[in-house]
Amino acid sequence: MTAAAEVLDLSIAEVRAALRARTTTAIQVVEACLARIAERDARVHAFVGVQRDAARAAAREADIALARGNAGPLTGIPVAVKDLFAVRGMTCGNGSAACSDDPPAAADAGVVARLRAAGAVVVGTTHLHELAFGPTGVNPALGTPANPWAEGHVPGGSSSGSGAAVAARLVPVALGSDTGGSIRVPASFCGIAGLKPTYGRVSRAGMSPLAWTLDHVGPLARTVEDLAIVLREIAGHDPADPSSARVPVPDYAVALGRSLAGTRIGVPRRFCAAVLDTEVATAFDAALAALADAGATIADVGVPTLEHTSAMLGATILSEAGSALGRLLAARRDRLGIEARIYLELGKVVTARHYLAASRLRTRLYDEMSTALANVDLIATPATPLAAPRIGELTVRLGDAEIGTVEAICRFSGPFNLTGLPALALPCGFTGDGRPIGLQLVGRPFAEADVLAAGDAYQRVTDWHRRRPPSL
Amino acid sequence: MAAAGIDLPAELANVVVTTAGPMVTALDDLAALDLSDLEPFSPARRLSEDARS
Repeated sequence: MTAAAEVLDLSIAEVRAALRARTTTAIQVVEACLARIAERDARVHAFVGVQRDAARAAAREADIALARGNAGPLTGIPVAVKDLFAVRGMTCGNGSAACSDDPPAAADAGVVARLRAAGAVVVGTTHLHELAFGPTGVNPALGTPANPWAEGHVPGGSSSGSGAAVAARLVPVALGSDTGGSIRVPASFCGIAGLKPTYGRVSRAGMSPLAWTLDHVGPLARTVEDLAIVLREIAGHDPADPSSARVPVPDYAVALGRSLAGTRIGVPRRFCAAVLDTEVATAFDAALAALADAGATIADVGVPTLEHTSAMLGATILSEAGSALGRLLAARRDRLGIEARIYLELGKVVTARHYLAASRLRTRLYDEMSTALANVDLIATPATPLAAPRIGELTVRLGDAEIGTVEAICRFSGPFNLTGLPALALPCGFTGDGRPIGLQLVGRPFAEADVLAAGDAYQRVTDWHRRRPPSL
Repeated sequence: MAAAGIDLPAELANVVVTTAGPMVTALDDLAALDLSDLEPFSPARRLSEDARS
């Protein structure tokens, strides 16, 4: 029998094996999860709401399915959901006091329905940066999740609660959304893995929009293998989401275990080096060396339009969010936090000329990346130019540059929202004071299998993902 | 801020300028670029097409 607490230290692959071997049961797994949340979440503050009774009922059904031999790929696996996806019976709060009185959702978001269809047990919803509109995860109105590695430092956002919940081992996997880095930033700051799949790979039906041409849905977990297992279940066309792609979904886990021999990895070194913390630079170089030792070849690639990332991202997010949210929130303006109000007001300075210039320049950025990816298989950057900054820091100094914290955080993640290419963040080291550092691997359109295989190969030769926060 | 139609308390001016000033300034640079050969980016169309090719 696997001890109840130990089961939450296992990966999804390991829990699944234990369930099938009957060394544990789904109800034991879910009870362990609920007990861990009860024990730790007062400190971590990852969860908005926990569905104890519904989770127990789903676990009992999972045990019946396991006993009958008709379990799904995720049967009995607890999962947390960012509180901007509709979860049947729960209010979708969007991280905002302006939405917290909304009625409970009558139906699940498409991605939540797919998780349940695969047998996963939804245990609750997680906090986020208000309206997913920011990369720090700081939420003065509803509370900021703790960074399990670094007290007083941001958890990263906007999927802050999902990142903190996985890092604190409250759940093995959580769902996030990513508009400028909102899966990969909390993954990087909390020392876990997070995947932003290709644009259109995972349905956004039932998810509150922030910016239609940048929004993506993906999982956060401790191992790349777990991301592969979950992605297989949530990916694919959904008639309820017209932007979801009709591209076949492979079994991503089958692609894992590959050697990196022959894999070519390109690094936009000039762009990366221009704004980069020295400890992150050292860890990134060591990660590239580990990938090379595992068989990959590393080469420089040039992507000149990356220099316009901040303006392109700002013009697109501010104008699309203003359109998506402005009317909805106008009547609730007095209940919005000041940061969301600032962003929504700033949307007024973005003109049609700015928006179209950003959109047309995105085509150039995509073309440059396509050219680079014709010569290499993957692109690598640090996931973020810095480890988790302190809560409340408005600017940071990186090398010679004094830069706004928000702009700095999104510098390496944002380009892959602008282009829609699949991007994986995974831990690759720590700063001297113990804050996690992340590596980012990016692939060709819908080539998540290549990205995940490379990330898995990296995790097979390193142990960063096995470390546990000292606060646990 | 008021001239740009932004409705925020004046005491936030420094915060707005510090956090978003460079990005806002860069918007006009963006619009001044020569983009004559480029159409707007359509991720839903472009990525699927490239995956099939």
